[in-house]
Amino acid sequence: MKAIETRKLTKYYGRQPGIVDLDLTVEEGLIFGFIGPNGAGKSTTIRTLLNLIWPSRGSGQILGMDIIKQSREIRLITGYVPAEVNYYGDMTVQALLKYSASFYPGHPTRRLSHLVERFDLDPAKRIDQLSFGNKRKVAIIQALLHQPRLLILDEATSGLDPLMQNIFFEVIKEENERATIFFSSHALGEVQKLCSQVAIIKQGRIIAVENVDDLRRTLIKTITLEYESENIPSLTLPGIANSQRVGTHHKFMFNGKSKSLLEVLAKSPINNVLIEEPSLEEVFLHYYRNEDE
Amino acid sequence: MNILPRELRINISNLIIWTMILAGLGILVMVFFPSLARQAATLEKVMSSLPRGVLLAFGLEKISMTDLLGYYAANQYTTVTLFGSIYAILLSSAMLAKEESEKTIEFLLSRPISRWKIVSAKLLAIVILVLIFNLLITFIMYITLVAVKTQDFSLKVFLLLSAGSFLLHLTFASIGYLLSALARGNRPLTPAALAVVLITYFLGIASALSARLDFLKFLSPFKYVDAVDILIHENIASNYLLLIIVINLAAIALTYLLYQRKDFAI
Repeated sequence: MKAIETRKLTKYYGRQPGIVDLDLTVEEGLIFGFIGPNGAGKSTTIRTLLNLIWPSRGSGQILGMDIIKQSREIRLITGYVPAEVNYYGDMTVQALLKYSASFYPGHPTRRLSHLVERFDLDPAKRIDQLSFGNKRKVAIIQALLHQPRLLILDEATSGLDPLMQNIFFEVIKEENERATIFFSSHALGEVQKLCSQVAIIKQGRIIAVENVDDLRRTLIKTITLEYESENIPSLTLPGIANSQRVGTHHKFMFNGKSKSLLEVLAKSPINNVLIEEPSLEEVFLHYYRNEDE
Repeated sequence: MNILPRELRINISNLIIWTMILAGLGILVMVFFPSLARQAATLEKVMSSLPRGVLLAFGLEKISMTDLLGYYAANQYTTVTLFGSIYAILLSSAMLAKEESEKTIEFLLSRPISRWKIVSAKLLAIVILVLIFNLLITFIMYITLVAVKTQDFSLKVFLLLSAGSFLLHLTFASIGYLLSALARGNRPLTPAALAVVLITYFLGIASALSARLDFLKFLSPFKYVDAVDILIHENIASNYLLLIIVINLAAIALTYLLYQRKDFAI
């Protein structure tokens, strides 16, 4: 049985395509990354899977159940952290989590207090007094409370500080022992950290499904060097691409060995160095160009 | 169920405020009745000097202001039917739409609950709240009437008037609920809801003004439970009752249907 399987799943908003002919298969037990730029159709896919919106055509199954006919049963065993957290402002954290739990069988009192403690939340605080990141934590906890078999996370780390992100990743890995994780994100770094397989969505269509290890091999950094003068020496290293020189700055993409780059830089007359994760677009451009070669 | 208790809890303070204002107004108005009744002759003269249009518009040419229930119908009943309808439609039009305007609908719909059940739970909340509202006002007004009466009044007519305003409030609640299902995104519904009540109210008044406008009474639920009819005939006409039932059932059925197929833009 597949955790998620869609066939030609399509959603149009009026004439505007949200997702088009989406064929997505997620094996059970994986941490599956779903990655693409904002507006690519990630949230549309998820909302269609949960029947918050109706597909224009096509079909889908979650854990063998039809996403329309058996939506209620699906939601019973699914946890969902939405991209935008909007909860009842008048409720306290505790009240909201209890309200949420009341829709599922069982009374997860111990699990609730354990998770609240682990994510360092004040259960007595009102939802409308919570910061963006704390609301996110409430969303994560409500998704975990009923021990779902499928966890759907939509931009679930946004607003969490790095420390909390690490706790979150730990929890996700624990959950993965009995649940499939569908991890939607626009940040490549965290997908790479967590997921074993990733689908790339762009303009409503899936353009590739890859193993993260394969992706990682081609994973590149954007490097910007600032020199003392405009007389920029040329670097002779394998793995440099898209070299651009502007004034005292030299910007390029690099997917060679970090150590050898640093050795070269140590001897260069540089004032400053900036090493960044490239944008998704850049990676994919690079990645697909490499494939063509 | 969990939606129902929550809706009852968050709407109870609003219910109490509306009840206190309308019952308070009613008590205030009814307290003047004994002194009016003593000066019945003068009042009848004043009433007969009013322009016929005014008398027609408010149904005053057929009911006596010096009769306890006549006075009650012309004053308090008019207030409760109009403002109670506003209360009912504001309550019901917000019931589903607020989840969308506050974007909590994504939370609600990702719980294992069918839309059918969401609509049912919230509908039940509306009916219970409108019922409590009417029971409280009926009870308070009954005590007030007993306190100010100069002679006995017909309990049957009083209860018919109470039932009439309850049915009217339910009708506007159903229409408001349908509006709630029709709502798109977070456009506020209050203006449309108020317009429905006020326009049908004035259509009702207009229908009484001349025989040529008489047909308008079918467009105004206020006329279905008109005080004059209830006072004179001591019942609610069965064709109007039927109309009330049809409007309520149609609005509710349509609400279920629309909500089931709705796409939520979150």
